Order: sequence, then structure tokens, then C-alpha cells
Amino acid sequence: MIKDTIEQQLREWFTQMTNQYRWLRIKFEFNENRDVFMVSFAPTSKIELSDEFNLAALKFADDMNARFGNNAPLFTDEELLFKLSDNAEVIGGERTFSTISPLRYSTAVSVKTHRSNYSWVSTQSCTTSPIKKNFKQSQSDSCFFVAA
Amino acid sequence: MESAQILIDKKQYTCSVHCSYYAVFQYMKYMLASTNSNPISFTEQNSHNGEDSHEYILNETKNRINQPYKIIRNFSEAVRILKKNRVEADYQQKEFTDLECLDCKKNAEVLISTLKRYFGNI
Repeated sequence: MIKDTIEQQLREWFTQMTNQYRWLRIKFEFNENRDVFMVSFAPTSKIELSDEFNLAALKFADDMNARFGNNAPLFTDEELLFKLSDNAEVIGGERTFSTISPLRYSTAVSVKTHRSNYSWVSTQSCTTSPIKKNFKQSQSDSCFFVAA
Repeated sequence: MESAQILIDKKQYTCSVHCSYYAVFQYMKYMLASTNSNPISFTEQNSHNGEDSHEYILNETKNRINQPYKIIRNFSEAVRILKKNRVEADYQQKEFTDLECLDCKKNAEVLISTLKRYFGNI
């Protein structure tokens, strides 16, 4: 199925990119209503500084469109052009201090020096946050973030 | 864009999405034919009807935007999302709300402004 093929290619590329760009966070999901994968990259503060990443993302999107046409994934930065649901999967991201409680809450502290109007990542330090019910982590060493 | 607004005023929201997208598409074609930077005539543009002509027009437009890759990427992403909306409006059962179609129109206006900024107000 095309959807499975696209997903496989997305995950392969996500793995490659998050290994190469350790700051890169990718949030994505398959939108059943629109019948398309939707992908959001973050943080824009780092993306803006990386011509290399932008060129790679540009070429990847072009390739996906050439191969899959109207079924090709849609891309944006920090959900600027479209919003993802709470069920979206998150991959990658810089490691920040986190303490995992044996209870239902996890503790995450992230230090940000900027505020993005469109960021879905918490820009404030937080000491406790409930784990969202459908929150998924693809990498066991990734940090927990609370959606803004 | 005027047509899009007229349709919105008449609450023909889904139909307006078609006009919003094609305003951008036609503007890209016009820019490509009119630019000083390696122009592509309408005849030559039309010769690519066999492949995805919309993707061809977008790629050729991107190739002539002399800006950082992030700007080119953002432009490309916005066009493709608008194109996706157009496909849904024209061929699928999706009914667009007033907010959704106004969003499409606004995005189309931003894209056209972007084209004017980088190609000049031809």
C-alpha cells in the first residue's frame, strides 16, 4: 500500500535527519480525513540557521511529491501552516534534563531563551507535567515536552 | 482573488478554495513567462502537460527565487498545502468552512505577495 511505503520512507528519512541534526524534533501523523501524512519540524530557531537542513528537507519534499503526487506528505515548521493532534508521534530532539517518576507524572525542565509565536513546544521551564494519554515517544532517550 | 472573495461573500466556501489556489498558480505561470531570469514562455510551460504541470511550474518558480533555502521551502510548503486544499475542494466530499476558506484566501494572498517581492511587481 502506498501509505505504508510513504510511512516507511518518512521514518527512514526522519532517522537519518535526527541522527545528523541532534536538535531536530519531528512531529507527524497520518490524517485520516485528509488521507495524507502531515509533518512538522522544530525548532525554527535552529532550522533558520541550517541551510544544510533546509536544502535536505526541500529535496526530500520534492522527491516525495515527484513520486507520490497528491499522496505526498505535507510539511511545515512548528505547525505554522497546519496543526497536528495530540496523537501525533514525536521523534528526535535535544536531550534535556528529565527525571522520570515511577508515578504517573514525569518531570521535565527545558531551558529556552526565545519565544516562538507558533511553537508547540513549551517555552517555559516546568517542573511537573502529566503524561498525555496518547503521547508517544519514538526514542527512549527523548525528552518530554508539554505542548504550548 | 476577486472571484474567491465573491464566492466567499455568497457563502460558496468550497468553490472559493479553487479560485484561491489558481490565483497563485496562474501568478506563478505569469511570473515565469515575464521574468528576466531565464523566462519560460507559456507555450513551453504548456508542453509539460504530460507530467504534473503544477509541480513543474512550482519547481521552476522555486528555481528562480534567489533566497535562502528556508524561504524557498516555506514557499513550496504553502503552495502544496493550498494545492491539497484545492484537490479536496474540487474532487472530494470535503465541505470547507468559512474560516478554512478565508485561511486559504489569506495564504494565497501571502504567496502572491511573496512572488511579487522576489520577482518584482511585473
